[in-house]
Amino acid sequence: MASAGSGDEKAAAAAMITLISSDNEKFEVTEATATLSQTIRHMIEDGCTDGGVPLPNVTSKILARVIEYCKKHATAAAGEEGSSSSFSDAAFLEVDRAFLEELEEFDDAFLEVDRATLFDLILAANYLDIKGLLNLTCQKVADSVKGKTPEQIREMYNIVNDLTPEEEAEIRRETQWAFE
Amino acid sequence: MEASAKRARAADGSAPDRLSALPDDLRRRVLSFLPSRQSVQTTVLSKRWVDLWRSVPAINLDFLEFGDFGEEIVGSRKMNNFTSELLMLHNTECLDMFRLHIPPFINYRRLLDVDRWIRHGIKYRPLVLEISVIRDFWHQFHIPCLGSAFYRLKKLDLFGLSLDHCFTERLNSRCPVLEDLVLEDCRNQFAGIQSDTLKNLVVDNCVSDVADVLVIRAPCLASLRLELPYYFYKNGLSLVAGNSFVTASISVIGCEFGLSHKGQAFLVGSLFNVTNLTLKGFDAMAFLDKESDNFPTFDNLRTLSLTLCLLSEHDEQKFKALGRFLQKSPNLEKLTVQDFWYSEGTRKVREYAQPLLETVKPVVGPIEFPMLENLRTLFLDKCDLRDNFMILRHLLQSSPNLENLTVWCCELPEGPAEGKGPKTWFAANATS
Repeated sequence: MASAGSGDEKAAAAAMITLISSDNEKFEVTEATATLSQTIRHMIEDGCTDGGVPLPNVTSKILARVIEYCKKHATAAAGEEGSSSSFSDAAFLEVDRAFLEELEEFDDAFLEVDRATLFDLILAANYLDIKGLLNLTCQKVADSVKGKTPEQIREMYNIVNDLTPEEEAEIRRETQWAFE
Repeated sequence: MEASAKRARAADGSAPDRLSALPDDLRRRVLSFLPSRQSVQTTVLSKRWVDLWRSVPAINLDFLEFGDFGEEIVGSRKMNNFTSELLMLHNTECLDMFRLHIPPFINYRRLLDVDRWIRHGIKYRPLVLEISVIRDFWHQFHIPCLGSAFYRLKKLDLFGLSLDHCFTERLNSRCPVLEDLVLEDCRNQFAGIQSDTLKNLVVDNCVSDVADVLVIRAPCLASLRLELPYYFYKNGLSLVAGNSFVTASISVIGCEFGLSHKGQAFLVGSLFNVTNLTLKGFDAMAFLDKESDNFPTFDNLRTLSLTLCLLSEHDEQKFKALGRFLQKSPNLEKLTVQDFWYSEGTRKVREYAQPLLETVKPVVGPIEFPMLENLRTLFLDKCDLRDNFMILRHLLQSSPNLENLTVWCCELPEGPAEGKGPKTWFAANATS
């Protein structure tokens, strides 16, 4: 029992990866957590992670959040081996219900951020190629505009309408079938 | 990302337009989560948005975007109009998802061009194809035999469609990377489901006039959810899966005039190598039937959930059936028993003045109730234990290593019954 435990610890210690944010902060994470990012997975496969992985596009504030997400979902991924497909319908399995509910609650709480952070997370998820996080954050933006008119969306996101009234009228005429 | 934020900063100092500042492929991804009608409407937001909708990698058509209950004619006209324009002007070679949803209250038969839309959707070689239509019309759905339309398909989710006899063969030969298949409320006019790549399968409430056994051959299957309908598939399931088969959830609730005890026993027996098993609506006699003597041992089974199961008018049989099944599950770690005596109609209502525990007296002996050395978690959910407090006692006596016991929304005996339970015990958690 004891020897098995220390063996595990050794294996875990060997598989730690250091991530370095744009403002030079270092984060130690397990390989299982880090490889939720396809970008980092490829770097590990190519053996270029010694001395840490610099992530010049991600601030420490955002990286901390991304790691929080990956930690939670890496545990989840370990539990459902084989469902690599992002469309996997594991949700219907009764036995996983409690676990999936917990994960959903985590995701909901995770998305309780201001809009600037949400967009930073989208860009970080895209750069690090973390499909689950990218879909989650993009869906959040989509949900925020669902059922809104173009005028409401402009107001919500401070979109400056650079179309002339004539141009806009013309576009509306051409796509009238989507507005009726 | 700072550069793009700066670029988007509005001249008047108000918060920057982060949404428009996203790269095109990310804005397309955001739009792919919207109904297509709204995705098209973003065309008037600003110059950056004018053409974006045409290359969004998802088409999501939902009647409710065009009309509500009672607006069939107006809604159908709008949806026809919209969809033909969209499919003509949309400009991608492939889609990640094509989804068509028409709610059951829409009598669309003569109003909507559903067939043509589905053919169009298939032409985009989607990764995910989701079609949900009203089942009463048994709209035909074919996997095309020509071309490579389904060569990318990972998930196929169909509701309310009629699937012809070619489905079996074409699912196998025309869908080389299919992983998830969901058939809900469909009319299965095919012999069976065969796929070398399928991982997750749901067959829920489907009817069939041509087969009374649902045949499934899927060597990579990991999970199966099966809900047998009232009358169809009277002879149950014939399943061939491989070592990756881990989770099964099978419901035969409402099949009392369909699947025989023998059929039920055979069905449960065919799930012998799963790790997680949920059974709903099985009869006690299925486990006491002669057939169940030939049950294989469920060596891999760790989590078992029985909901509205072991139905019988005689409590003795319920006990025996539970004991019999537990004997076959030597490595069980978690047992959930839900609605064991609760639902009306599953047992005779106790007559007035009948003494408590009368029906439980001829309770099973030690042979029928095995020791559950590995059981760590026991969850009794909505069980009527008033007459059957003994079950808890038996389970506790048989589980020397139990760590967690949850008794949730259970009815417990009022008087000081044999089991000496607390008088009112609504929910309790015990850790040894």
